[in-house]
Amino acid sequence: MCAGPKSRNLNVIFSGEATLSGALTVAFQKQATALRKSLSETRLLRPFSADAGIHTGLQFISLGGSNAAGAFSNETLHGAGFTPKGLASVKAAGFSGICFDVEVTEGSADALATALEATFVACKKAGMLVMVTTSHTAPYAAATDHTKRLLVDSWVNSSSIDIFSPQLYTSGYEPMPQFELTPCLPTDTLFESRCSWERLKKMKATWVPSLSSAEHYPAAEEFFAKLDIQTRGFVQWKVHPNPNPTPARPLTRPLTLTLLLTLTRTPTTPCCRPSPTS
Amino acid sequence: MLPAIPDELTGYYLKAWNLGECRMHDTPLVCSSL
Repeated sequence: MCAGPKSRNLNVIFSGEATLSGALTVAFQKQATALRKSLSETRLLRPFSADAGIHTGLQFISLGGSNAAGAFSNETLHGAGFTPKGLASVKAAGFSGICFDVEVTEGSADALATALEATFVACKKAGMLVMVTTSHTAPYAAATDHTKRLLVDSWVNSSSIDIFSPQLYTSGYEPMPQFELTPCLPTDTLFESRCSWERLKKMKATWVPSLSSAEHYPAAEEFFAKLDIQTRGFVQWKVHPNPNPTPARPLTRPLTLTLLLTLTRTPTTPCCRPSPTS
Repeated sequence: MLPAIPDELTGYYLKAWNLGECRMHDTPLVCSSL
């Protein structure tokens, strides 16, 4: 099912792929199936462009994710296709931007932060918007806690990120938004972390949180407003809307279940994000 | 020139593996993107 919010002005095509060519191939193949056309016919249509009239609003293609296959590293970024030719192929498909789902990273912190920022700059030079989404306040898996802090600081200082979308969920099926933090030091907890909302607050990008469900947005908007962070909408993860929605309220105290879900999260066993081949 | 970002975004992670199930003219609930 493709579902999602009935009326929307942004699609982030998520595949879990780590390269531009891989993500594009999956998107074209599945779109061709949907249109009952050949792959070459589908490519000619520029199916993700406004002119094609198939999808409405801005279309982003996503790289990365919570699986190990979507891990970002200096090496994977350099082989991910962010060349002028590679970026031109993304534009030719009709995409307006690229979403970097940075939840799992590998390798040296300094090299990764530099490579990621250079990639953002390359996207902007190619006329593409840049969106960064991460697990709560930082990548949840990295070689060191230093990597997490360095990446967060790099994003805060970046002038090339247009949309920042912290994920306020872990499983994707939460009944209310999770405002927990990502620990960035051994002594950090989910509620006291060096990777805090305050640390991210200075980011130049527009805040558009990722939510399990659209009905969580009023609570998320209120939570961030109290931190003097203005949000401008949301991105929903869950496929199906809640048939009996009730407005969610901000958590004053986290649920034990929430804590357990977060603590048990691993890169290789996501509970709700099927692999691209599923 | 960069595409303009609307003042208020309503977005969705459209799973690529579900794109193949999208059919034009389906009900919005089933296929709101097409």
